[in-house]
Amino acid sequence: MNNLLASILFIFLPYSAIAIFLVGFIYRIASWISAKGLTELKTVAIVPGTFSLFSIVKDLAKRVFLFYTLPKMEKDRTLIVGSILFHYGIWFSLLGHLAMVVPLPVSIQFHMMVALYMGGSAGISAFIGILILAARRLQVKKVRRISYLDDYFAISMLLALIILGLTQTLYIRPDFISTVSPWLTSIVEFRPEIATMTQVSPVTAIHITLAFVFIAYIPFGKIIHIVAYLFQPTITKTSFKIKRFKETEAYMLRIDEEGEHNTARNRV
Amino acid sequence: MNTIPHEIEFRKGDTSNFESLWADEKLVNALYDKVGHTQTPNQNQVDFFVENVKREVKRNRNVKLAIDACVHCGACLNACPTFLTTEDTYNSPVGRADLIRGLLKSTKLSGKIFKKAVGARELNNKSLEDVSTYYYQCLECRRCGEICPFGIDQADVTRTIRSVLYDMGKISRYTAVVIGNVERTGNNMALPPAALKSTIEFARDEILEEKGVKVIPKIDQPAYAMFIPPSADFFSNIETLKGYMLFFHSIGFDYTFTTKHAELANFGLFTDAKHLREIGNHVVNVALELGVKAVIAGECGHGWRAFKNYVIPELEKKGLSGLHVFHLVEDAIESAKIKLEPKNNDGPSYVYQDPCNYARGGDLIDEPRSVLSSVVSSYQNSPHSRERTWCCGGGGGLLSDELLPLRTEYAKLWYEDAISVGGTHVIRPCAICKAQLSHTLPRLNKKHDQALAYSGLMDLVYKAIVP
Repeated sequence: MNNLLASILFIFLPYSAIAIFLVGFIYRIASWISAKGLTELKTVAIVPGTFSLFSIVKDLAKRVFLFYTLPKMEKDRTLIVGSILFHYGIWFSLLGHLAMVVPLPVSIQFHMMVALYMGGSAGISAFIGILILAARRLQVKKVRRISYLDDYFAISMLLALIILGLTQTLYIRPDFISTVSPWLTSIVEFRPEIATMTQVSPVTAIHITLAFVFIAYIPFGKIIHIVAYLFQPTITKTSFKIKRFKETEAYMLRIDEEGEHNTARNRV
Repeated sequence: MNTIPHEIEFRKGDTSNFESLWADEKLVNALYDKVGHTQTPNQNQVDFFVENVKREVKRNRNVKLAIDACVHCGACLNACPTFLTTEDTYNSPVGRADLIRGLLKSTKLSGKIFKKAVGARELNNKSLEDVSTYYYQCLECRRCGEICPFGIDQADVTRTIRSVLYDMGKISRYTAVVIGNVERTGNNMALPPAALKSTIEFARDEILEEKGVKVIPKIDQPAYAMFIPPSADFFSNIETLKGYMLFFHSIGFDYTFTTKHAELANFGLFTDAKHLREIGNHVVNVALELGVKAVIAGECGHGWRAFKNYVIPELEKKGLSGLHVFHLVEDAIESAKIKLEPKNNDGPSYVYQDPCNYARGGDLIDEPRSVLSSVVSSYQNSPHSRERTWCCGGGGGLLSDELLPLRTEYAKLWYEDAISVGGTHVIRPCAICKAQLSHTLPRLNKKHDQALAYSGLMDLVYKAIVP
C-alpha cells in the first residue's frame, strides 16, 4: 500500500469520520433536548409504577441487557433471539477492539488467546444474530413491508464488517498488537502514525475503512437508537405519583334522622 | 347477515375504506371559538400540514423521539390490536408513523434523492387523506409503546397528528360533537342539569329499594370533595353510579355531584391539546367555585389519563388534590370501613380486563384488583393482563357508528381471551370499554354462540356492600 493511500485511509478518513460522527451526534442530541414539550401532559410514562430514578434505571437495564419487552411477542421469536445474539456479539467485539488501545496487564499470548476465543465467539454470535435478523426482514412479509433502503444499508454494512472481522480473527490472525494497535493508539492520542499499517492485509484495510464510514453514518440513520432511548420520556421520566389522602375531614358528613346534611360547612 | 344497509364492509389487509365522517365547518368553527383558534386562510393544505407537523415534532420530545428513534424492527406489529386484527400495514404503529415520516422525508435531501426507497411519500391531497383515514383508526391504547424496546408510543404521535388535522379543519364528527357537548353543557352526553338530578334521584330510590339505605347525595353543594364520573354513568351505567353513591354513603364521605361538569371523560386527549386543557381547566374551575378540597374520578380509562396527567397537577397548583374512587375503596376495605359480602356476586365466571389507560401509564393496576378480590369470591385475570391488556376496540374516540364493523374486529382479541378462560362476565371499569362492549358484544356473542356479559367494578362493589 502506498503512503498516500495509507494516509487517506488511516489518517484522513478516521479523523473525518470521527468529526462527522461528533457533529451529527451532538446535533441529534441537541434536537432532542430542545424539544421540551410532552404533548401537554405532566408525564407520558408507560411502564407501570416507575416512580423513582431507581425503577427507571432498572427498567432501562432490563431493556438493554434482557430485551425484556420482546418476549411478550407471541409467534415471533426471531426478533429476540436475533437481537440478543447480535447485540451481545457486537458489545463483546467492541470491548475487544477497546483492548487494542487500553493497555492491559496481561501477556501478549494471553491477549491473543482471548482475542481468538472470546473475540471469535462474539463475532460468530453477532454473525448468526444479524443473519437471523436479516432473514426475518426479508422473509416475514409484514416486516419486509416496513423495510427501506436505510435498513438494508445498515444491515449490509454490519454484515460486511462482521464477516471481515471474523475472517481476521479466525482465519488470517494478523499480528494486530504490533500493527493495528499502535496505529489506533496514535489516532486516539492525536499523533497519527501509520508506519505499522502499510503492510496490513487488504481484509484489515477494508474492515477499517468500512468501520469509519459506518461510524460517520451512525448519527444520520437508525443506528442512533444506541443512545436515542436514553432521551425517550416514556421510559426515562418518572410517572406522576398521586397523593393519597386519608384525612378525617373527608369523612365529616353525618346524616341525622331527618336526612339533613350536617357538615360544619353547611351550618355556616 | 344482520347489518344496517350502509355498513362498510371489513376487508382484511386493507382498511382504507373505513374513513371517519368529518365534522362540518359549523361544528369545527364552534370548537375553534371555544379555544380561540383561528384557521390560517388561503394556505395550501398540504404545506400547512407539513409545516405544523414539523413544528409539533420539534416541540414535543415524546413525539420527536418517536419519529427519530424507530428502527423498524416490527415488534409493535405483534402488539397492536389494530394491526393484529386487520393486517393492514398502515393500520399499525410503525405503518401509521411511516405515513408521517414519509411526508417529512420527502422534504429532506435523502428523500429527494432516494424517494420511495427510503420511504418518502409524495406530498399531495391523497397522501393527506391516507393520514386522516388511518390516524382515525388508531385506538391510542399505548400497547405499542409498552412493547417497543425504545418506548415509542404511537398514541402520542396520533394525538399530535390529529391535532394538526384539527387545526386544518379536519376532525371526526363523533369526537367533535362530544367535545362540543362537554364544553357547552359540562358533559359528553349533553344531559341537562334536570336530567342529571333525576338520574341521581332515580339511583337514590333504587338504592333505598334494593339495599334499604337512604343515601342523600349532594348536588352542586359545598363539600369536601367533588365527584366526577363519566357522564355515561348517568345514562347507561346506572349500576356503576349506584355503586359510587352507596360506597360514599357507607364510608360517610362528604362529596357532591356537580351538574356544571358531570364528566370525567376528556376527548381533548384524543384529538387536540387545546381542548384537553379547556376541558381540564373547567374541572379545576368548577372545583374552585364549589370550594372543595379534592376531586374524585369515576370509572373511565382515558379520562383517568387526562385527569392524572393534566387535571391533578393543575389541582395541586391550587392546593387541591385528586384521586380515583378506587383509591378510596381500597383504603376503606383496608381500614374495614365497609362490610362486604362477596357471595352476593356469585354466579358468573369473572374475568378482569384492565382498561388501557389504567394499566399503561395510569398506575391503576393493583387497586382495582385489591377491590375486586374483596367483592367477588373469585375472578381470573385475562390471559393478556395488566400492562399487556387489550384495548376494548373503542378507544381513541372511535366509538362512532361508521367504524362499528372495524371496532367489532378490534374487539376480537379481548373477547377471545375472555372466552378462552371460560369467562362469562368481563369486568372493565371504563366508560368507553362499556360503550364499546354494549355495541359489539351482541354481534360477537351471536357469532361465537356465547353469552358473555360485562360490567364495571363499582357495580360489583354495590352488590357486595352490606349496609
